[in-house]
Amino acid sequence: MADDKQEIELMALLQDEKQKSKAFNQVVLKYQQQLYWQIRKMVLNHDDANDVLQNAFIKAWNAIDSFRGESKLSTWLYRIAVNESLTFLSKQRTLHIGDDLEDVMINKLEADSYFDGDELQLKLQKAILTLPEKQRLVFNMKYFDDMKYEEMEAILGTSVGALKASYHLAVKKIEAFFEEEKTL
Amino acid sequence: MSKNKPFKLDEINKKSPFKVPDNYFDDFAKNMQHQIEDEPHAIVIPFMTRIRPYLYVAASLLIIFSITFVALNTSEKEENVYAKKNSDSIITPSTQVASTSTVSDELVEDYYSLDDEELFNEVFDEEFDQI
Repeated sequence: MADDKQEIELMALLQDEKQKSKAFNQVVLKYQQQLYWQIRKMVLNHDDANDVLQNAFIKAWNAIDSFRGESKLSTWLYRIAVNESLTFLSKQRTLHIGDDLEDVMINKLEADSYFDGDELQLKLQKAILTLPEKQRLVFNMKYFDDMKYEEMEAILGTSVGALKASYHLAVKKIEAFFEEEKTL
Repeated sequence: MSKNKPFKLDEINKKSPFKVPDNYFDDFAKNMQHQIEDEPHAIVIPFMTRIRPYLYVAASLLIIFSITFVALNTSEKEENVYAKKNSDSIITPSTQVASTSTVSDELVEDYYSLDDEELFNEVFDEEFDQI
């Protein structure tokens, strides 16, 4: 409830030309971490996540006048961050034609000084990369952030039933990946 | 991870394996504030685009160093072959410098136009004459 009140106040400030940039800075401060981690789990590398996060906030800033509050501000920002992540990955796929983008990403992650996962955590990232991009989003939101399906529905525009099925399938695929690795 | 039991996701440490640089979020917010205030329609320059000019410079330097290295190596090898063939008359670097400083341009050109065999014959003949 406190969050809703704060969001209403922020929205009022964002509509005031004189207060707009200050209010947007508050938006950045409030949501940067949630959005960063969401993006980071998709692009894996810190430098790439930083670029995508900046892009997401700049898109939000440029479109803030058209935001009418039909959804929660956080949902709207998440949607922008998700779109920016998917756009980034699609550009990377075009840039690395002929290579397996997932292999490129894992290599980059292994070289990333801002990743200190153990062997199993690295293997989990490899397993997650075998999922289709939208299923990766669903898995990350549920498994790591324990996000409510209703919230995910608002961000991804997919029904709760489909999201539950997608998550269940993602878990099965990941467990199967680990089982297969055992036999190697 | 047990080999016999079927694998379950709970076996993995759920703690995030990702980190960020120190003060990253403080700096990020400040940077965003500047971008918005300075340029209302700012564009993010991607990391690869930012470092591309440096990569070009690094690649050019690498090529120049490689060429220099190969050239130096080749001339050193030629010198070694020459020295080996003339093991009876050892020429020290100091005598080489002294002699090259007194030779004319024409002689230098002639020297470089000779191939290994001609060079060997010439030196051999000179030494033979001196005996």
